[in-house]
Amino acid sequence: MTEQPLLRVENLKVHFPFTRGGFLRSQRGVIRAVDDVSFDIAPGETLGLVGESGCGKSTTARAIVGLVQPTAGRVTLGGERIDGLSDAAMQRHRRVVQMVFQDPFASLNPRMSVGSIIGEPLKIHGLARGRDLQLEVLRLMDLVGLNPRFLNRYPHEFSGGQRQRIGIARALAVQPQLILCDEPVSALDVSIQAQIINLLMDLQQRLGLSYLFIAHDLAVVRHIATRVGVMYLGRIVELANAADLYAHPTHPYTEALMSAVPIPDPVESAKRSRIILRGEVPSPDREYPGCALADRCWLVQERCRSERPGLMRVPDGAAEHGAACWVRVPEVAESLEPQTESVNSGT
Amino acid sequence: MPENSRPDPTRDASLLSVRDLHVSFQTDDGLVEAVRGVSFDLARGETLGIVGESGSGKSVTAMALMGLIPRPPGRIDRGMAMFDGEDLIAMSEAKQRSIRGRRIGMIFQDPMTALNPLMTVGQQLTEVTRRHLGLSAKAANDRAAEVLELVGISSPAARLRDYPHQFSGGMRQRVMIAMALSCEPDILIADEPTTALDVTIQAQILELLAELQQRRGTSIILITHDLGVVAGVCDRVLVMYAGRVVEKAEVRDLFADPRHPYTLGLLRSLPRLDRDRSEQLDAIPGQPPDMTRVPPGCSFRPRCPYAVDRCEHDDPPLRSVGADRLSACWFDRPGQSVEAAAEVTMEDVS
Repeated sequence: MTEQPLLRVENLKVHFPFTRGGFLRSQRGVIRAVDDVSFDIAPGETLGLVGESGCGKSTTARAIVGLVQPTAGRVTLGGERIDGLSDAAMQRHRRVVQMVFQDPFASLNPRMSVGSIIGEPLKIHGLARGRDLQLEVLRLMDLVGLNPRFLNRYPHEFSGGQRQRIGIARALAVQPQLILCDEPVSALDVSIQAQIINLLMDLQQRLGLSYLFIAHDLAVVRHIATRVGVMYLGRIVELANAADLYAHPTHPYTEALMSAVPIPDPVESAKRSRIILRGEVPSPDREYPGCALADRCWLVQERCRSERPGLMRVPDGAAEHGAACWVRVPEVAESLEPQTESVNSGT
Repeated sequence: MPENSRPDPTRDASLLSVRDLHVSFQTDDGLVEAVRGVSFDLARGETLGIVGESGSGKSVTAMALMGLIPRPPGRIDRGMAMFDGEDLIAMSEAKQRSIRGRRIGMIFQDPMTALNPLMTVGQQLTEVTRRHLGLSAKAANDRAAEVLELVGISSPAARLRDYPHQFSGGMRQRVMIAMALSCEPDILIADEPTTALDVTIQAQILELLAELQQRRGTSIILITHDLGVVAGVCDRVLVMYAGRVVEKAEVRDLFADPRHPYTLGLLRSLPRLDRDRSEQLDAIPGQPPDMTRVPPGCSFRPRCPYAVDRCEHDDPPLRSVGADRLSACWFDRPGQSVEAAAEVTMEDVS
């Protein structure tokens, strides 16, 4: 990638300390929610992050905007470091990066009208007031396909799909360049999901937005994303252009995940062979010296348990197709991990 | 069994026959007719899928069969559900309780709604078989370990002493399935059993259900919004919209040749891993109807690209549109000529 990335995340770690045991013999541990994650997002591109619950995809997004503090690593937005900033210092960057959440009901204040919800960020950032404010709110409502007649209504009067439109309009109010979408369609009915996906893609085209699109639905992510990262237990195990990833899944976890997605076609479904992973995702409170999938992987070798694989270029794969697997990617492969010096401050 | 004019190939083996079920709820916003005339048959050993979105009435249908509609605000206004010569709807609550759990098992989306957090898994599993099957404490304990093993939980005898919170999400779902299966029910009603689970765990649970069905011939009613799950495990499918069945078909027919515009719309709106990526998704426009104000005529009409004048005031009944196929649309197939829809007379109606 020659273009300067809009967002660069390098060796991001988010560890949550916790205590357990009886109250006298409490023993401290650490949940490694995000454990050494690196990626870039270019202007106008959509990076999809997929993975199962607890894999760290939402925590990654929260760490980028400072909703949780990174334990280590570096987050750069438009060339400026934004990790570890105070709330006040972060305020300026919030105009550039906004979030859209899964549950549009929980994230909208039920006592505020749609007009005030969408207008609030404009007021906070001092971008518009009075008549201009109202005109801008109406423009935003039109942009996301909400009838301007609904200006004075309250969130409970809307269906899930319309509430998500309100959430998107609010995110767009400050004219951000990057929107972090955390499972934005997974709470919506099937017939409404497609409307919101189309809206997000249309807005991207018109406004040149970049998205970090987090979802557990692999089909949705394939549709919307330019590039996709697959996360497992706090790490990115595969990262590639969407087309390459779906055509040539290389990491065993990606392969298993894809084979488990139900296909809405009974004939195809009967023909498919599924890879069923043994057991469940292990707890992130343990440190894995090797590959996090080792205990469940059908290809596991001795080395996988002792030495941690980084993202390495898949041989004969497309450019920038990386997978973190000792078995599928030979040792001579070129590392795709960031080559910066010791950005890790340790844990 | 009484003669039934409806062409139903599985009629002889029908285990459960639901006819004209109507359920309503009194809400702050007015009366909601959640289920408006649902009929279907369930054959022995088959998996029947009920697909629909929130508010379609799919879960309320299942709750009515299990005698779990809260009254008030809910009410079963009409209908019957014949199971082994008896009507599940008309029978006493005591009778319903004796069938529920024993002959008809149920699993839910959230296992914690079915499991008591204060009792060990063993206590809960043995309670069911001691009450319903009159097993001794020892026999019930052996049986509990046996069903836990059946659903793939390792060291079952030891895990009987664990509480629900000591199991992970996928394992809790297995415990609930074990509980539902412990009395070897004839019918298992599964309401979104995998919706809260990750796809790799979902695959394990669906595989487990299919395997158990093969081994024991249990009939399954699978309620879901996920068309992929339906395609993978169901034999026949009911598609529900706004409290009514709008299409009923064999699973292969439904996916290969959807007849109701809503079914077609759902299938087209899905992004799919098994097809080339499209630039734009074919979304169904508009919103599902507000169930306190269901429009007259066909409830799907405001969102239907094929609607004609007749659909506005004339609600199409569920009618035969081919061999073993029913659809509630004036067209036999979406996009047919307008004349065809006008020609449908009530004689075609089943």
